[in-house]
Amino acid sequence: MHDGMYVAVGYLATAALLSGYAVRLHVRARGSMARVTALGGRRPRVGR
Amino acid sequence: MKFAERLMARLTGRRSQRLLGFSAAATLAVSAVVSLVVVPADATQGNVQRLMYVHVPAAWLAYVSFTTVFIASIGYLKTKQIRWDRLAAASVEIGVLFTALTILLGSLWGKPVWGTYWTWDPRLTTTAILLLVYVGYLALRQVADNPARRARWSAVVGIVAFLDVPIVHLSVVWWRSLHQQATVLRPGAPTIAGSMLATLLLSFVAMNLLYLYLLALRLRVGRLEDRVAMEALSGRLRSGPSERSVTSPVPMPLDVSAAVGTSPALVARSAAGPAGRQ
Repeated sequence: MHDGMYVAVGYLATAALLSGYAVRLHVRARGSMARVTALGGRRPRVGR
Repeated sequence: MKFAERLMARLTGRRSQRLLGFSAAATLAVSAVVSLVVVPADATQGNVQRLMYVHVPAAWLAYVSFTTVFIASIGYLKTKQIRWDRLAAASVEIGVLFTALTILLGSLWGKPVWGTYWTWDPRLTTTAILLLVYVGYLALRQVADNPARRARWSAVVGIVAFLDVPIVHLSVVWWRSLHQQATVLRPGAPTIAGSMLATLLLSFVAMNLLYLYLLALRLRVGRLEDRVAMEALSGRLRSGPSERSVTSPVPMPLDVSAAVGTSPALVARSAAGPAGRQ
């Protein structure tokens, strides 16, 4: 494999892994917020 | 401890989180352009050396994450406040991610330079052990049924597991290793060209901002999930056992009080309704 391919695979894998994790956290946060509201709680405020 | 708690609250605020997200994305983009296009290729290793601009900060952030777990574990055992356990759980997840990334990028670099993706070198082996230990930590969190017990066990493991971090860092000094010695985190001046050092430092800044962003986001998720369990518990307390299945519109764990680690104060606050809540 050409040297540039190792670099490309490395950078792409990094971007995919980290952005995938960030998206997953956003989805979890949205899901939890919806569940709180469904359970009759106030829409949660963040940062407290 | 009070300062750390205030810092945590400020970090997870909506505005701080957005600011962190934007600044992390911007610095990561600049850092990628500089490390892939602007800085010259290494005279000996060629373009493959560019992987170091991600590999080294990823390894650094694995250390930072597990140090945070260590401090948060001590914080939990000292104060018994669940927010410390939440911080440890958040940081360990990110630490595992960065450790896996470190190993992956190191392997990709190792193939063209060492001629192999993997070898049982002391640095590689201790890093693999580090990954396994903290994956075990995450597994332990899934096993413990009682939240107070889970937090206590996790805190103990978080403190003991941290012993491997200095071993990983010093493995290249203590044993004969294929892996190169430290070039930046070492006594004396860094043994790296100026432009490469500047690029590496830019990557460090970008990845540290990313770590803070992910940590803030993960802490928010942890707090929201605890809030879900608390709302479910307060619904059960209001409605009584016979109406449990009617009043709860979403499926909840059978023993919600176990899921949130019910303390008398928490139950009282939940039962008091919205005014009694945060």
